[in-house]
Amino acid sequence: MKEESPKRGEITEMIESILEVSRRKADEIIAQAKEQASKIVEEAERRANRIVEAKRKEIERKVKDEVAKKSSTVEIRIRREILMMQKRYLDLLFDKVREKLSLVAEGKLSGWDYEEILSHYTREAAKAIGTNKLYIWGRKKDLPILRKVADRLSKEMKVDLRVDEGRSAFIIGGIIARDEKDSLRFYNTFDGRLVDYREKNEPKVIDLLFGRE
Amino acid sequence: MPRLVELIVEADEKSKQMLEEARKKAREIVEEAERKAREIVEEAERSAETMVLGTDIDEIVEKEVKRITEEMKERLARIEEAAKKNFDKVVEVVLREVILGEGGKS
Repeated sequence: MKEESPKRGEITEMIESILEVSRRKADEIIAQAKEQASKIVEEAERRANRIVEAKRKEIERKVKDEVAKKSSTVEIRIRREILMMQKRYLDLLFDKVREKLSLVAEGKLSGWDYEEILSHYTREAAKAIGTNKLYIWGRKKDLPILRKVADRLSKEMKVDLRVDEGRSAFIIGGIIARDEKDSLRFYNTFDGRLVDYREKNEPKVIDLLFGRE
Repeated sequence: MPRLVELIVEADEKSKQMLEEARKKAREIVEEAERKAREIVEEAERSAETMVLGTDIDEIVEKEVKRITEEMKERLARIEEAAKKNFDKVVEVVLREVILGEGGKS
């Protein structure tokens, strides 16, 4: 009887050990299952996000495409309106300048001396033609001024400068000059200068008028 | 000795049972996770479908186009306003340059 007690203790220990191993293994199985479950749910959440995100992007793309299509039509229409408006204002502006040139030629715009302008234009013409004898003409009503200018510049420039009394031009103002044989002409009229100016400077005038965007 | 064998067999049985229960519980945990995963995906699909049905693309496009149109019209108005403001000043500049040449001293 004395020898059986330790044996029983050993047996209990052995049994306990068997059960402990099984308990640990069981815990391990559960832990692995929990980990697997967690991965399954995480993967499902990722998939769900991808599904929603893909749909959201599809809608956004659709909207973007439609907006681009429709707004380009609007942009083209308004750009055309802007160009038309710019042309309207440019036409108005050059009409206004033309009106003011008429006033200058009538001597009705303060700050401008028409006789001085004609002298300046004649001087330019004489230099450009470069002959000793030349004729100038302009509006019929400018004859008295042209005569004065011719007299003055003949002396000043030492050239034979005369008014072509037989000719007149339907212009806003300014002069036309020719050499004796009429083989060379120089047009220095308000009309010509205005047309020339618009051709060369329209982009600059657009900037001045509308400002840079 | 027979008692010892009996006890060991009993412990072994208990152990097998314990593992069996653990495996069963593990299967249940995984099955529950799979069920939950299916639900999550189905819910996402439903939600994506609702997103499509609930999104009035035409309305959004209309609003956006309206916004762009307003912006362009404002730009048009701004340009016209500038033209009105600068008109007289530019007339004087052009007049001067036409008469005297560019730079005002031809």
